[in-house]
Amino acid sequence: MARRDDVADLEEFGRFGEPALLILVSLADGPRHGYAITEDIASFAGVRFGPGSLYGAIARLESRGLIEGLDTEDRRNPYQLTAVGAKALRARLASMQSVAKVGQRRLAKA
Amino acid sequence: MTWLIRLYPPAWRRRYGAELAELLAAQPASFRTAVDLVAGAVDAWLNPQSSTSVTAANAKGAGAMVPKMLKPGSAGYGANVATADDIKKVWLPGAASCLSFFGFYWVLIWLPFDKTRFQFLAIPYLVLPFVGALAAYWSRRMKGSVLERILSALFPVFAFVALFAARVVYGLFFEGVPYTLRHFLAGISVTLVFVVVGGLLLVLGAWPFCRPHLRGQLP
Repeated sequence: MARRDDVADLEEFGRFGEPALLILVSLADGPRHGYAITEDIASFAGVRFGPGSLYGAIARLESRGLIEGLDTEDRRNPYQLTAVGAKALRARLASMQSVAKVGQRRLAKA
Repeated sequence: MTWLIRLYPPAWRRRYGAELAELLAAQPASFRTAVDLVAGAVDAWLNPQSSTSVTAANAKGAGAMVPKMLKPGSAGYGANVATADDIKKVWLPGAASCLSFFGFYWVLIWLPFDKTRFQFLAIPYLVLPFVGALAAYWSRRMKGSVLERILSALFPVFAFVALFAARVVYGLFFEGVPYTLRHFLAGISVTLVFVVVGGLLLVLGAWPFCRPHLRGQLP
């Protein structure tokens, strides 16, 4: 099933799984460069990844075709979500949503 | 703190170095950032395909084919860098095995043992298979061949031989007392025992991490 494959793509990121997911969420709002991604993630998730973790995740996302760099004259290269990345993010969020629903339903019964 | 970027592989630096330098310039330096950068550099060396397939794809004008280039074994970044990378598959895990062995030996020396007893002398040999396994495992993580994994595991042997050679030079030219043939023979006998017994133990430890690769190469 395509959805499961997409979810597995993000899961194989290991310790870079969380930064990768948050980067995808950040880029869902439009292209951003590294610093803007860090600030955006800090604003909506309350976490600030170090530059090594951030670019470790960016390198993995880019190499798997989930994001792509935009050509600019600037040293700060912006990144945008690809169609594959949007699909992977959608699948991941849907998976998280279903888990959250089950968890909330069970908590309501407790 | 931008000097820490030099710890990353050359291909990684070419792709992300300038951006990372910009990001570092925009935020205050801290110990946490330094640790994060070092951890990122170690990861970039251990997982070269995560940062280099894009470079290879761009060089060939095939940016849209990036996901397909992530299949194991397709990672690489040009003949010159690939050769350097092959060498790193030996000396990086090898250095790790070397540091583990001599680090363990150093700790052992500081422990309150009777260091003249034979059992004490035998303890470092017992750790060699584990050190060999560690080196072969790291080399395998870097997609090293069987030969590269075994060479990585044998690094403590190479280091021991190098130490013996350095000891001979020091004894001949810098030591106050004369360095006699007796000294040399005693040293070379210890070195030979370490090369044979230590090398065997290292390869035995490394072998389990070489076998899956061998099976993969069979038709």
